[in-house]
Amino acid sequence: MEQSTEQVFDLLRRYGAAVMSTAELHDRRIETARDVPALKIDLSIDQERALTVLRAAVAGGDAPIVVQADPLYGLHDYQVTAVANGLEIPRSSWQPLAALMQAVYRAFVTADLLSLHLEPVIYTEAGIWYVGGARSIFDGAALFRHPEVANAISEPSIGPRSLKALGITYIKLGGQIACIANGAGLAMAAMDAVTRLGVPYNITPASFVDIGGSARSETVRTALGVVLEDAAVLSIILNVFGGLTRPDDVAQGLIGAYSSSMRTVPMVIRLHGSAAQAGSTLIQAAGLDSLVTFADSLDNAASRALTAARGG
Amino acid sequence: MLAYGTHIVAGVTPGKGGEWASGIQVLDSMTEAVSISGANTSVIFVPAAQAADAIFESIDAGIELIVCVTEGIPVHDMLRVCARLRASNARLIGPNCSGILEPDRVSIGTFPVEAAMPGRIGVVSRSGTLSYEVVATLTAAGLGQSCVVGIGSDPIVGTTLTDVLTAFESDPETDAVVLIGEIGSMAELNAAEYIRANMTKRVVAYIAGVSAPDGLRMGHTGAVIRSPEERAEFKQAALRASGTHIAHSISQIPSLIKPGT
Repeated sequence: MEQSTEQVFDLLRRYGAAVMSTAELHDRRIETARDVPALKIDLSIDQERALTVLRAAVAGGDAPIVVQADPLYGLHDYQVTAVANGLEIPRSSWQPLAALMQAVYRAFVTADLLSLHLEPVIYTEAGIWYVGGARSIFDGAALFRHPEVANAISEPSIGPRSLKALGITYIKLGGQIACIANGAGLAMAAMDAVTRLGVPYNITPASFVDIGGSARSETVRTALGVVLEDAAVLSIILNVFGGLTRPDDVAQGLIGAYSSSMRTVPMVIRLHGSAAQAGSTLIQAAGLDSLVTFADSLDNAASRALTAARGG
Repeated sequence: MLAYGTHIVAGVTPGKGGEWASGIQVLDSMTEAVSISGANTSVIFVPAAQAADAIFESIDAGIELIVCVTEGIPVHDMLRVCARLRASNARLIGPNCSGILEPDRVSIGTFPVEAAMPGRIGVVSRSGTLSYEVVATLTAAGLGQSCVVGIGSDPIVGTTLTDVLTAFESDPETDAVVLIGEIGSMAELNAAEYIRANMTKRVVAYIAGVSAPDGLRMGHTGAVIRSPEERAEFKQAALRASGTHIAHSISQIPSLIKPGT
């Protein structure tokens, strides 16, 4: 989640960093030091090595000095010294820079940020480093321990929030075939199959819908409801393979969705083994077997959905 | 897991020590569980807010193999966990993963075991559900599996594709490997480098997300294209250059892993 400059400034202030917008520095007639260039400082996470990376460079320059912080020990002062030395800034500014960077690193870790960009970072005649501009990305997974961030989130409209509460990820893509699955990888694979086989007909995926590994009938019904609201959708692939979702939940969910929608969009379902049998019995009993068919592979599901989308 | 014959010796839920569940005794701590049972493996299902703590507890209790199924652990928690792992002998699979399955032997995690059958193909996957689909496809083609490892699709994982490829390369029970990747991260590029330099066994790769648009997070926390190297086509090209056979659909995997199937 991207955060506003004000949010980042508030955060940095709490950790003892001096913060002032460049406009305000100008208004207050605070003199910047002539012999010390403005800097830009980036903190990010190296996923492969599981370390925090700090990059600092002269603002406008492209030769950053890079140091890595081990989460167990944090940022060492000697690393900041190496940065200051590498940037060839005057020695008198090193100590205050170390204090600023330590504050910034603490804020980055404690506030669960995924990235933090500070620019410009300005040194004044009075010997203070000011952060003049900032932006950051917050780790949404850590929302449970940051009520201050949760409170600042503007209220989303009913739709997306209820989807999120049910663990559904819905991404509209603009094509004709909705790809629903009980897992992101499988939903992507369905999209890829539709895209590959749909080339001759100019048919592409309408949406990517991940209902999660433990979807219940309510989840299936809600996901289908959103998909059916998209007037461009001509057919649906529903792949519920493995995971904790029971076939009767799938059947109930789709019976519910079809009965509360004005649209009759054909659907191809993938269920595995005994679940497929149980699901098909339930769907037949509900009189939906003209609308719903079963496929034994993803490619098969995609080609059937394509046929259905072309009115076959 | 229990029904599959996995030798589960204890459950741990703080505050529920002394109770029993499905005939297994429940204890308050991992240390207690290890000292009573001699357990060497743990599987973690606790909520994201407590998951890092549970991993630390497993490491400190001397567990050698930790499988963490939990989804949504904060990245900074995983940074601390990985730093602790680097200083220990423990191996973490996951988080946000389907775990490990050795057909007809052991299941640790959430794999739908009826899709699998014993054999000599190793499977490693970032996505859980995709590995189910691939394993069912292999089984239907008569190609059994030696071991199926879901490493998880979070940005930071304890065990990488390369770690699992290394294990399969030296495993006498594995003849060939299916690698299932997806958009986001450098994991497949690192794997390609390992395959090029070290792998003698046949590798078939399927990469999901060829049709995924840049910049959108496709469900998985790690499945987002932020740079061209994170696109599926780029990963396919790197893997192809390493000698890996690329499957463009899951149905192609059996004939690529064993020509003539």
